[in-house]
Amino acid sequence: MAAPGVLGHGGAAALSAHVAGPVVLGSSVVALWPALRPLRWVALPAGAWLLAAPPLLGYGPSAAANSLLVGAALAALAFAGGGGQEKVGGGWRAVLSGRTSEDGR
Amino acid sequence: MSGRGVPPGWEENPTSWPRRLQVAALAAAGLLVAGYLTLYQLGLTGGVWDPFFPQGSPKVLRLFEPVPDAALGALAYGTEIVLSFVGGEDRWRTMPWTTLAFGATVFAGALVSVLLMIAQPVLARAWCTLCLASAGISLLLCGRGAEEPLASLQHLRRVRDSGGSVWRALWGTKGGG
Repeated sequence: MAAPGVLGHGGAAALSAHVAGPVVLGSSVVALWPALRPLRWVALPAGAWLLAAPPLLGYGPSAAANSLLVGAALAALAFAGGGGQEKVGGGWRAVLSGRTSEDGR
Repeated sequence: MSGRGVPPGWEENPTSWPRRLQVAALAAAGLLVAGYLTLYQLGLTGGVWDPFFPQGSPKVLRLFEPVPDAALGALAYGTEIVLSFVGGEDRWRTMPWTTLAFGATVFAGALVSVLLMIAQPVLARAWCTLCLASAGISLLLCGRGAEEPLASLQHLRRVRDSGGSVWRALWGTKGGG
């Protein structure tokens, strides 16, 4: 979110960062609680986009370095910190499958 | 039923009073911020307080002029406060409609917040501290509040699986479940 202003890049790199930033921030904050933990996976496509964007959109060096670094970190961190569904009766999956964790899923 | 008001397979009751009061307090903070911003948008205050982007706030707040979009935020926070106080301590099963309405409000609030966080630099080309604070509150409310509708949806699923009426369970009459 702040990268374009701090690093001083504009154009497509700034637009990409200004869209990806709030999406990642929003999904990550709500994923702090077990009920919306699955939304942490939003970071995976967002990270993949940040890795793909520099060559696709022709970033400058500082914007490219930042995008690649943050993209790699986001994609990796999406895999971390799962679980917690046992605290909320099996989560949303239980609504779809009809089996809450009490039934020993 | 494991413990009074705790949904099957859950560690805590998501609709206990301490949790709902916490949510209501957070929404009240959001209401104060959004209410203040609405006053500015309606021209009832001369300026708007912003310690970091004093030039930015007016630009962001005039983005949708003459529509006072902060009023919609205030309305959402107000709705969340009112809905927080409806129903008993185990309302996730006695009044599922309250938690579903509450969940829809906090989810919509979080979604709009993300869109507005994008709109600030992209459309207004400026930042607004209090708008960001309000967006942050909306995200916290959504993260914290999502457990309520989740418990209700699991309950409604159990009612359906045991052959009861989901419709009646939704409104709180005995669904035969």
